[in-house]
Amino acid sequence: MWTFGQQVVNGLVVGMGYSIFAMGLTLIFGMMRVINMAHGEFFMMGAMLIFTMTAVLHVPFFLALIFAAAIVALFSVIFDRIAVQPLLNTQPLNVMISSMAISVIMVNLATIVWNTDTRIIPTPFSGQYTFAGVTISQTALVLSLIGIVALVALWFFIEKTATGRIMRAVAQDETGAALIGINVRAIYSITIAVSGALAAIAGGIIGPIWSAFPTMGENILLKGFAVIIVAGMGSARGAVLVGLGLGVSEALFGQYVSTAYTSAFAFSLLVLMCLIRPQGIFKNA
Amino acid sequence: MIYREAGEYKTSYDADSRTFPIKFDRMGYYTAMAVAFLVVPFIINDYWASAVAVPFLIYVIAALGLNILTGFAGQVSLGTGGFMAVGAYACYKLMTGFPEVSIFFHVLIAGGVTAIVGVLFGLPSLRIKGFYLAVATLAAQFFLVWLFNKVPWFYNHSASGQINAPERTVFGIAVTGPNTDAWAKYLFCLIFVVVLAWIARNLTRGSVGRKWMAIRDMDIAAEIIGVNPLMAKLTAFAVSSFFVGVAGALFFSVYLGAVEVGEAFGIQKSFLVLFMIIIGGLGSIFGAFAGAAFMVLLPVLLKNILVGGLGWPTDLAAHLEFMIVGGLIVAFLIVEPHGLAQLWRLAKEKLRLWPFPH
Repeated sequence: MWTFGQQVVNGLVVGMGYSIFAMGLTLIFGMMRVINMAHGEFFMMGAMLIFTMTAVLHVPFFLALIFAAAIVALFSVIFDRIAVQPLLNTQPLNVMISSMAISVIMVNLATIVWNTDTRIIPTPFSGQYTFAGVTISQTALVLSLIGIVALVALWFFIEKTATGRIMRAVAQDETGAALIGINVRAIYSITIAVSGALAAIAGGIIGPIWSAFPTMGENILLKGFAVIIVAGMGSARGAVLVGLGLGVSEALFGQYVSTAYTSAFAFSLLVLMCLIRPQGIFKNA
Repeated sequence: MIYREAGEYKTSYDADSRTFPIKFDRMGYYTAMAVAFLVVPFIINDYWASAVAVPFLIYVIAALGLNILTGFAGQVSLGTGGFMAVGAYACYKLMTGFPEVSIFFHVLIAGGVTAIVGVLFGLPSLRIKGFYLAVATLAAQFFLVWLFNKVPWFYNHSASGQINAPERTVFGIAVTGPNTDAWAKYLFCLIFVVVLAWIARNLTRGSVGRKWMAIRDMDIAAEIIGVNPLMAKLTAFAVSSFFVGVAGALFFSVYLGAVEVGEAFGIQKSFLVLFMIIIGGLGSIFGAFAGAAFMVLLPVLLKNILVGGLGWPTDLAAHLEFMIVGGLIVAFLIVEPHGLAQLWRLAKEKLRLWPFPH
């Protein structure tokens, strides 16, 4: 029973990272109907930047996280202006392919800057707490809190601020929004910046648990897709729940079935979902 | 003046419906075939074979395969690398399991095995399309690479987890293994390219190809006028995977000789082949050739400039090549989404009137 609880707790921390990563993907899809294949690379860039700042420049962890999110957000606006906006009104596939090209560029750029070594991101937290036989390290606890804060901040931004209201308007009807004087292109750039920042924060949560290397974005991209497809494309609440669920079920699967087959778990879930209910759990379309 | 359709007198339906109805095209085709079969094998050396000719020919087959699926039938696939791996591992198992059978048949059977796997992964395409299909094929890519890494039976329990091509011969001449002559590798691949390109060209001209294109352009309308979407999509997956499987088998056995699956057939390979057909032109046989040539020649050219000319380290140059290729893809998508094939069409249009444009 204790191992069960332990695995649930471990899974929840990783699942928090999945949720935030998938939130970024689902946000862009919900707003712009765009599939961003470079999202995994934004995640990687966030983790690598945090590594450089904490391990090399000795910036405090929280500050590094905020800086990394800001830099990746800026970078994703450039990505938006170069590779997304010019292709928005052509075939939807084109944006997907151009984001793939950007992902190739980013992986190779990161390899030039950081080379292919696996880096361990240091965190300032040590010590652990034990409740009812379940041990949670302080690092994991702080990382989950970061995730919760990020999700609450995102909810507040979208539901309670003026910009968030405009974003919801654009998501509902792009032409109508443009008609009443909303600068749709600027809103798209903001959306992509928020999504990039979320990817960087996900990198900050998962990076210290696993480790950081230039091709780390490939694997999580597929998990992110698995989460948003199972949840239903564009469903934010679903993405959070399914992300946590995926983290927990992967950990339990690793504990009770086989660690070697953990990575196949997300694939099978994804393919099964595509076959049985392509619209996802949380969508009634 | 140089390129014109006028003055072509045809007296039969056969003449009218041939693959290259214009004399200029036909001459170009015959010349290219003559050069490829009668000139190149005698002058080719190891550098040209391993750096340019053999990878070009193999990527042509892969690009033809993906173009059938994505360009003609409109089903996006991100799993090309994984399907190439199926071809490679099928070929390896056949080569080591049945050494007495000719490698030629092994490559063909490897293509057949890949076709079956392709149909299996193509089944979801009946229910899902567009983005969902792309993600499902992406999952297939990861799954297949993971499978070949994890299950020792596929690599005959070798300690390194790699697969190595043993020496195999065709008519007594080695085509795989370390002691292979450049011309033998080249000719072996060339024969596959010519036959498969001929099949692809004729399939896409005929009723099967028209069904694929009908599905691509509007699947519901196609179904209403009597195209069976099940058959059309599954044949597209089967034919495409066959091509990709043959390409994977050749890539492993003739070109690389030793393969580590994540390295040789990773997601990057899927992107590369997809980029080839985007740059070459979706839905065009010529585009598959042009795109493969572009993506093979550009790195060689850049490498010669960066490493040979400017003296940069090789690995830095290699990463920079990928970045330049990525930049070119974005540029092509924005400026000329129909690729090199469209540029060629425009050039023909200009040549028709040249030198009197009015």
